[in-house]
Amino acid sequence: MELRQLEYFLMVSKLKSFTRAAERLYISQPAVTNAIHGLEEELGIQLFDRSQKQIVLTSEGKVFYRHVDNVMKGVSKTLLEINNLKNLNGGSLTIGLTNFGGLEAGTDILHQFSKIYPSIAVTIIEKNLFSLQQDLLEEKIDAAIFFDSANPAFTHILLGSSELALCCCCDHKFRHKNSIDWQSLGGEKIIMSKNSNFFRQYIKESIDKINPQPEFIFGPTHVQTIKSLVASGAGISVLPRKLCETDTRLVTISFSPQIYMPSYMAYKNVKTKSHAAEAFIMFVKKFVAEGVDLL
Amino acid sequence: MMPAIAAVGSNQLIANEICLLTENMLNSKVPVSCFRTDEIKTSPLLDFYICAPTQYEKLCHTISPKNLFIFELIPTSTFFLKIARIPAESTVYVFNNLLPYTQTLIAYCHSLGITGLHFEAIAYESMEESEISFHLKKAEYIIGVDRFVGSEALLSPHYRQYLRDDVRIIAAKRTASVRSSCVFLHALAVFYYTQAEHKYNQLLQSASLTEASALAMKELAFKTDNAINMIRTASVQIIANQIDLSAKESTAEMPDYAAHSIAEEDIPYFARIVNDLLLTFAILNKKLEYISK
Repeated sequence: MELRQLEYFLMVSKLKSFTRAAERLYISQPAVTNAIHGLEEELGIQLFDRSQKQIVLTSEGKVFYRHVDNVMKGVSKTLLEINNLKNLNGGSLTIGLTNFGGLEAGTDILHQFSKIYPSIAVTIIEKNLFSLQQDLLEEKIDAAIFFDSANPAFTHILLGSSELALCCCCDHKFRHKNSIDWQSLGGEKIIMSKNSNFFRQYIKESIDKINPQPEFIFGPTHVQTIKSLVASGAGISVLPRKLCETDTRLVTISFSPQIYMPSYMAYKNVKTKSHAAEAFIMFVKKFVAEGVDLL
Repeated sequence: MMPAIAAVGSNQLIANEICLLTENMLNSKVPVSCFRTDEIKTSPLLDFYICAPTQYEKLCHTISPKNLFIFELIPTSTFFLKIARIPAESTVYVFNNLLPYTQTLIAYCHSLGITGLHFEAIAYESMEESEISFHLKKAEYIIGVDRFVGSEALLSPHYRQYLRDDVRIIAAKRTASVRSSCVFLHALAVFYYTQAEHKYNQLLQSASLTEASALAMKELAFKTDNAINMIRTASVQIIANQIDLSAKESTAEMPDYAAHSIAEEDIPYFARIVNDLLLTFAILNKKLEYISK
């Protein structure tokens, strides 16, 4: 006997049709028919009366259906998963990143994970924080890396912190400063993504104290656009240091005191996940606890 | 990595029943010893003890609850299918030593939609002999747990004399419920996982780049692979047992690393395989933990 035979039997019983059961199970109708035949032979009874237009359970079939339904209730899906769990050589994983999410820890993790599990296909999608949270809730993605840790529907694993720095063009008046305080930004034009509400919120308290208030301009979506606009002298921006310090067109200046923004890997609190998602979560936990060298 | 497992029963019959169930679940890959409850105090300490619910109270004073597991015993599908074939309106006698389990069996039948029969209980340890013989003489259909309707009780000379020639006896082969089986299986999986992880860390720490270390790592990969395969097959067998069928054993394909030659520089290669298997095992444990709750 195989678990799938019972799964097919339950589906055919519920839908009263081999064809519809096959459609629902995404397999061919002969596969369902053969599996049920095999089960009937092993049991030595006829489970379905096929003489009618619509198939019906025989009286013994009804008893068997109730028994199997009781036995499989609440465990069938997980037992099937266990049965299919041969190894992790396969599967797919979709990871969401925010515009600023693909930083150090996040990219290191993805790189190392792909090295260890080359057969798991990893797809990255980039969206703003709100969309990623929506996707996580709807289980369109397996995990996401972003800066927020407030949503109780998710488990958050702290990956690390990124320093936020001011960046300006090479001939900006701030260019020679080693550090800068928020008050110095009074009246400046700040280029910041419209989608990074959380990011803006994170530094809001510091910005609110600036007098006169800086002006937020353009609101581009992509980091590259922000950097290009800054490089052209259109304004200044506040970005994770790692995103702009290697850009020779830009000058990166730390705030005084320095500010850091934590990044998290988040996944939805659900009881069952794909093997690939389970593997990724365990990998990240181990990565965070032990570091890449120990993996 | 082999765990020591004991099946415990109030008498040898029950101990044997639990022993067979456990061996069957584990596809006879792990030996199981049998003990009566009164023998446990003097027996050596083992990793797992499995008993029926009635023995738990007595045993939990001697055995740590983390080593003690219950198998809730329930009849298989075949038993109910045979009862379903009895003509409607017939009177069916439920034969057992005590009354409560007869009620349990009747309730199981009703819950499965077997409602067209009249059930009468015969609890031979709590009824007068005259009442028992009165019922048995009339009985055309008798159902009950196999050890009570077999040669030890119903078919013993004592009761056999009362039975009709055309009596039809339906014996229930019992099996452990899915939930109680999963609790044990999860603990067993954790046992194997912990052993494998411990050995893995030991081998990594020894860090001697010798052929023997590479061989030890390869052997650990094999053992871990086998343990995973056994637990996976057992998880299907748990369901198959309910239906009185055999689970098809998971085909243990020869892993790629089996053909890999042993050389000292291969330690990282085998270590990576063990690491991968441990992760698979950890996921398997998590899934078992979920269904055993």
